[in-house]
Amino acid sequence: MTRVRTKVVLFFLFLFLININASDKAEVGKAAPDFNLTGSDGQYYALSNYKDKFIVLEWNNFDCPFVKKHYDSKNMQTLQKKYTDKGVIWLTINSSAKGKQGFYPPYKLNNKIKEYEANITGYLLDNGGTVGKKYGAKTTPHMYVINPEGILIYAGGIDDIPSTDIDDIKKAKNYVSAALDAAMEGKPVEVKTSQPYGCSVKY
Amino acid sequence: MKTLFIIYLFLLISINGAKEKVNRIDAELITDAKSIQPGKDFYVALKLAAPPDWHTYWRNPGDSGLPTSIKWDLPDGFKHGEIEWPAPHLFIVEGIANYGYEKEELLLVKITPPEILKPNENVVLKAEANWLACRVECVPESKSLSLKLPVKFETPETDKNISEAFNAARKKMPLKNIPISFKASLNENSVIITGESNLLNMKDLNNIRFFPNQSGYYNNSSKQILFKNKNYFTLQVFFDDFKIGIPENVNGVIYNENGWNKDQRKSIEINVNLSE
Repeated sequence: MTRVRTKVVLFFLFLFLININASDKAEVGKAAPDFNLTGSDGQYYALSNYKDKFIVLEWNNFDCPFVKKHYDSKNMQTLQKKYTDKGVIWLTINSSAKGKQGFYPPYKLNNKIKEYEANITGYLLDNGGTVGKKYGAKTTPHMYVINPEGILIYAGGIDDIPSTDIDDIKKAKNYVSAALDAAMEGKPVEVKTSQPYGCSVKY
Repeated sequence: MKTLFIIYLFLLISINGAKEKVNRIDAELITDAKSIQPGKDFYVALKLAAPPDWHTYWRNPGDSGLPTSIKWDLPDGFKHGEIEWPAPHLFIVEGIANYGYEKEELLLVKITPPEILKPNENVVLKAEANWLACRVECVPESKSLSLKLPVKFETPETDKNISEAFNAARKKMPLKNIPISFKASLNENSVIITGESNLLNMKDLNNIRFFPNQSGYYNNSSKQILFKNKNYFTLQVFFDDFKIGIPENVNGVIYNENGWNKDQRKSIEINVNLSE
């Protein structure tokens, strides 16, 4: 009898803990919720490992035409290179569920990362979608910038022209670099949120 | 030499074959008018036919996607209006919400010819349509379209089938002049839309939903809360966690499963200032 009761208590405690986690949602201007994910390289990545650093989160699905726009044009890789050279941590996250578009075994993802010459700190596997949902990631790409104090300072689109047309990149205002440049100079970030555009995240 | 020629031919064919991209969505430019008159407005439609499971997007695509667009290339003096969007459907997959169209949809556009046109000559309207076709995966598609029409002074004959399809499409557009007075006010992380009318039977309101024209403000997937009283109703529409700001106006479409009038028109237009 007591064993059953313990089980019930444990069950509710478990539900309670799940609840705590679920309410831990990302919000611009507040502390970015921590997470732990395995990378395509088999390493563990925790947000809390990168204290005192700028962090970029990039939601990714290599089969999405909007992602292709920014990778085929090298726009994404150039951005990654520019800021990782300045010490920014760049985490690319894949929240495609098993069997959905963009879901691949790690070695295939690593091949794609190599082919595209991506300059990222890690490619994180979130196939359960928990981190994606915690951050409210809706599209690929969907971009987030976190400052060295751990505060989320930007969430939204990569730029201001929603399209799949590569020619639009040079005309567009890149919100990620605008946020990073401003914050690195100690200036306020002008556009803190924008409408993300792209394919839906394949949860 | 002969072999070279054959290889050359083969290459030519395969290059041409590669150029011709097959779209998932069938696109066509149609009109019910068999001829046009100088200075007299008429309608053309971009007809998009999606195979099962595929869809295209409304003016506000929702959480992801892209709206369909038309780039017109019209003869001198011709003018075109904007797409007159039928009310969209809401699709929610794994918490991501989109507004768009399945199956066959007509996007009507008004064309105004110039006052002076030579009779019996043909006019060619050209357009490039761009849309995003999505099932689970998305494919950007486009097609160059054209429509040839003769100029005549007399009232044009109409194609009955296309006229009927145009009328059916117009019935899917949100009603504009309805005797409901709307207001919208800010309430913390939401907007409260109030609709007041003595002519409305509140019992007829069912499954009400606001579809915003603008993207970036509202939570497209969350529940909207309806409250009904004698001669008014309120609808609470929540903002997105990452809203791009507070909108100045609340404009969009309000859908009612039971229909707003005796013709069972299911959507109406709303465009009001947002007050504090």
